[in-house]
Amino acid sequence: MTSVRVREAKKAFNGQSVLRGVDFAVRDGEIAALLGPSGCGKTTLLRLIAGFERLDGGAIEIHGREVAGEGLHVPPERRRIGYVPQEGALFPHLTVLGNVGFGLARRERTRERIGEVLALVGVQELAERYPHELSGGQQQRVALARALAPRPEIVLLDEPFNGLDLDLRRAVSAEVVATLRRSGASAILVTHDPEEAFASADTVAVMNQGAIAQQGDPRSVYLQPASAEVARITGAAVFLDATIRGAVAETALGSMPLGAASPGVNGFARVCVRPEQIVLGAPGSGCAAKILARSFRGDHTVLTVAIGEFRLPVRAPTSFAADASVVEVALEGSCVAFPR
Amino acid sequence: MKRLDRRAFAAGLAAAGGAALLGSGRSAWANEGGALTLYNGQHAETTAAIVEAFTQQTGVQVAIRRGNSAQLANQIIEEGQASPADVFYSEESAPIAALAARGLLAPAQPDTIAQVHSQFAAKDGSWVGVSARCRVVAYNVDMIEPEALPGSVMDFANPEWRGRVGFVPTSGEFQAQALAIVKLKGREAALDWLKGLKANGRVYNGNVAAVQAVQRGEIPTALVNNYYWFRVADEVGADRMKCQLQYLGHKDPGALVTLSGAGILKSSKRQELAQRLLAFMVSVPGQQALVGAVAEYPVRPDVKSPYPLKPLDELDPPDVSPEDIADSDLARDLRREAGLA
Amino acid sequence: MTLALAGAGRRTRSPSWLTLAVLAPTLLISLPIAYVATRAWQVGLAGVAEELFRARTAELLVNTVTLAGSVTLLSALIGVAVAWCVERSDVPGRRWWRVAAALPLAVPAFVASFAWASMGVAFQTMPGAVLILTLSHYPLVYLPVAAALRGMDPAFDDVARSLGRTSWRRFVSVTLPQAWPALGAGALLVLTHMFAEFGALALLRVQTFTTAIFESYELEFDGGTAALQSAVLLALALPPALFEMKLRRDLRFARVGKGGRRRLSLTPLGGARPFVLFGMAALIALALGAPCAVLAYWLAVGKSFGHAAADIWPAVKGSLTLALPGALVVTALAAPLALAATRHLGRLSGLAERLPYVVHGLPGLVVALALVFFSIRFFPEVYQTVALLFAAYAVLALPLAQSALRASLELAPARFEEVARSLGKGPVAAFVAVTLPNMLPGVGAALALITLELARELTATLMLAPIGVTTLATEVWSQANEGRYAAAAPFAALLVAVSAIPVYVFTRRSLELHDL
Repeated sequence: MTSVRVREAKKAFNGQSVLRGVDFAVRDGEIAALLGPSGCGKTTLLRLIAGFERLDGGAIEIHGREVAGEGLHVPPERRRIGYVPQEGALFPHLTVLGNVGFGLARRERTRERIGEVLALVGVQELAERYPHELSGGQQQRVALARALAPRPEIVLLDEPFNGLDLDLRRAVSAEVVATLRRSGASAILVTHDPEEAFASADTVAVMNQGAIAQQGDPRSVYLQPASAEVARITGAAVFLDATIRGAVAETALGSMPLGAASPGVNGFARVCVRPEQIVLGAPGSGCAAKILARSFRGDHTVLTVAIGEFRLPVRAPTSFAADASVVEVALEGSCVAFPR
Repeated sequence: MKRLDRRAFAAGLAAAGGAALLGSGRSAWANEGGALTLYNGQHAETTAAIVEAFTQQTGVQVAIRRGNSAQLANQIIEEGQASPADVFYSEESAPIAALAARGLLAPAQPDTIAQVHSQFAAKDGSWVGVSARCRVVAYNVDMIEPEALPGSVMDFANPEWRGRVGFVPTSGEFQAQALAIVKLKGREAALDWLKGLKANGRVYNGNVAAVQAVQRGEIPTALVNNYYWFRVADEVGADRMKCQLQYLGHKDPGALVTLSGAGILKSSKRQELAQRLLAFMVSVPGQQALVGAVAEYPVRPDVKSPYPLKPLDELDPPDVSPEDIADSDLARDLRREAGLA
Repeated sequence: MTLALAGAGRRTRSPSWLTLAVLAPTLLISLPIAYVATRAWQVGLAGVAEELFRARTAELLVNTVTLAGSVTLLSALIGVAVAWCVERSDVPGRRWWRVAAALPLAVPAFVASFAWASMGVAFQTMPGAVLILTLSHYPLVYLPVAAALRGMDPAFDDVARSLGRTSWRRFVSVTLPQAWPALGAGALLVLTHMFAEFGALALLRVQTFTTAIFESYELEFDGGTAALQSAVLLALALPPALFEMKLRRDLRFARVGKGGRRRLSLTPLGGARPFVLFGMAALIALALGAPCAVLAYWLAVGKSFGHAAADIWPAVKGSLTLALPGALVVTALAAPLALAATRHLGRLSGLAERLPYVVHGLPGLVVALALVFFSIRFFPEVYQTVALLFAAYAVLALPLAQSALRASLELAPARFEEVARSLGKGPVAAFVAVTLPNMLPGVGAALALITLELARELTATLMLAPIGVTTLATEVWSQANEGRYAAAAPFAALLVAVSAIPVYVFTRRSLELHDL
């Protein structure tokens, strides 16, 4: 059963088209990520699902019930959603207790029920505090508790970890995901950070220029991007010129098998390789390259090397010889090819 | 706690707002058929004294709206037929003459008109004078000898008075004085006089302010009404008055006698009661109440003011009727041509 | 920053309940405009041309612009300087100065003007009027700018310092630009107050359009000249009102994010400290001392003292029962305007939000006559009831409430309401449960400021209050009009004292706003 289904969603602001016919679905109990650069329409899509904006065309269903469509707009308060905005937006005039109890019906608004939800996110001891007395991470957890308290059909998270520093961000997002899984709710997470999307979501929808460019599980969108843009949005990518012969791409660094996602590309093409696929090879196993620069990264070192006119980054172990000026570079795994 | 406070505050707000709305239900028309409504531009105490005596005698209640006479007249004009006012009592004659000119006043009963000196009511009987006063020259005894004062108000337009005379161009009585000059000496003379004053004089926004300026020694002379001297004297003590009054007499426009008057609104639904109030204002008890409260001349000969006023029959004012000094359009044109407005 | 921009682009059409709520104040505000237009129309085109191209009109224009411009400029300079000293310098006794600097607002301009005018003719001139009115109006700039300086993110200042900016250049290049919206809002209020000022200017013998309007009503009874002069005033107020909106719109995105929790660093005054102290002391002595001294003199010298003692309690009661509920009504009417302007700024809500500022430049007399004109024709039931008087108060004081409410609304972003709606609250319930409580500091400030303004309102109260109701302001007028200054003094002193309470509340409120 699907939790959310969006069909042909269209939306324009001031005559500027922001969504141009988006199809998107989330299954029950699933966590989906909407991943894309800023301005791609991911937040607009989330706000349409929430009901904060009206659709210009298309339809939205939540749990099999149509909530937006031709002549229909169910207001947000009747969609049974949970919403966690950027920076949490806790109500500054209410305590944690007041915030979490806010969405509960009066008879449900008991200390026990609220305590239960606070325990779910692990902040029961903060019940009497006001938002300005909480750290950023605590604020996010309370915001999630507030969204989960009324047992929504689906939780919508709009770049909720943006305000947190990197360390906290990973930890809090892991906790939030764990909590969501425990609660059994479906969720949609809007983010521009691929690592966050992959770590959190069962399915990732990559958005670009008002449309969904690809939706699939994290592995497939990362390893088999449907387009060069998707490759760029989902992580660092190196593009190499190549000649395709059957299932093999021949590049300046040697030949490499094509992944399943590049059928029908033949002859001259570009292949996409992830940086971690470019490795140092044993002498004779790859292609000789000149080291131009080295950048120490702690657990590894990144070399910038040149093969003829072509420059590319290569990961080397920290222990890599400091005086070497030439290395042997090789490719690992399979790649995806796009027509040139 | 904090939360409770805010709730209580919000509830308080709502309650106060509700109370305000309920309170607003009280309509101005609630006293229909009951009390008379008087729009009063005359000094509050003068009117209060008369009305109190009236209510005592007749048992009729009078509700009084106070304000500046001209502003009240403008308000009555905007109100038109729906005006809640029954009677208008103006401090000066121009505002009530303006209502008469617009046909908003019902004529006073002939009996009422007959009570007062024939010069002290509108010819058509649309309103009646309630008190009279005289234009004078106020001067500071430390700054100028009375002998050095001019014999005629016309002389203040001459260059030797530059910077030495104060006047109040926005006062209705000053307008009346200019119109009296038109009547007595012609339009040109009046215009020249206004131009001369504009060049020479210092403009004050009110007669009290002008008398005080003379008293303080800010300016040696000012053109005002006689009773303002008594107001200031009441406040600072007559023995401490540096300011004294010069009555010009000799039928000079500077000795003009003007009126404070009252009239009945044509739209009033209580004509009979209103006529009774108007008649009372010029009756002996009404006039007696008046002269005790303000240093103006009574409009009937058989009542005497307790104030040490120069007797009415010694003022020797110019021969000018209320109609002669009622043309506010002409007054405006003159003021504009002289650059005063 | 980009996120905030994206959020702004997403500004939605206002919901229908808000549109309806905006309609009421907008309708009220357009009444004086319609009235002025009606009366001006009756003059005819030829009359309009004649009136507009008179030498007198040019003279009034020069006077009005000179006075309003100078007072606004000086108030801006003094207001910003005092705000900076109180909030960002280490001047001793900052807490005390913070309130003291706002107190001149409690002295009605006509009381101050009377004090100065009686001290000598030198003050009864344009420069004198500029000085005296600046002294009583600079707090309108000081208060919002002080609040803005207080709420500013210290990081900006730190960055500027790290870039080697000296204290003065930091102020000009970093601090001031962030205070622009607050400065603009305050300056606009001062400017429109100057357009509408009558009592003080009559005493100081300076002629502007407003004094001319009063004169016209004094001596003419067709309202034509006054209407044309009012139309010029409206035209004068329009460009600054639009400019201020543009100023705020351009800088809207500069204020995303909460101010830092860290305390702002204070600039040491060093050797300038005695001069700053002396300057502030002199300012407050002039603004407060002179009027108080004159009130004391009246009491000591006048023979009419105690004359109207029996009228004191009814006047206090009248003032409180009109000003406090009046302030509530005005604030309630202003709320939707402020809300629409901060949440759904479109062309129409922009106009609705601006109109009150334009009409704020009209004298109370014109507003009162307009309401007489319309209510007697269309709603005779409300004529001369509290309801109509409150409508007049709204027309006269809406912008004061709008400015105060807007400041606090910006602290309660739309996101709060969205969260509330995702949790099952309807639009109105969400507003009441979330936005309203967070607006309360602003509501408190608005109430205080309007109570202050209404307590001293004279013309509309005289014309429209239920018959027989007196207020402190009407009694001051009535007694002073008769030359009984000693009798007027207790009323004036009470008016100042009663006004000082809202000033104090407003000062605390508006400064605390950014401490939340």
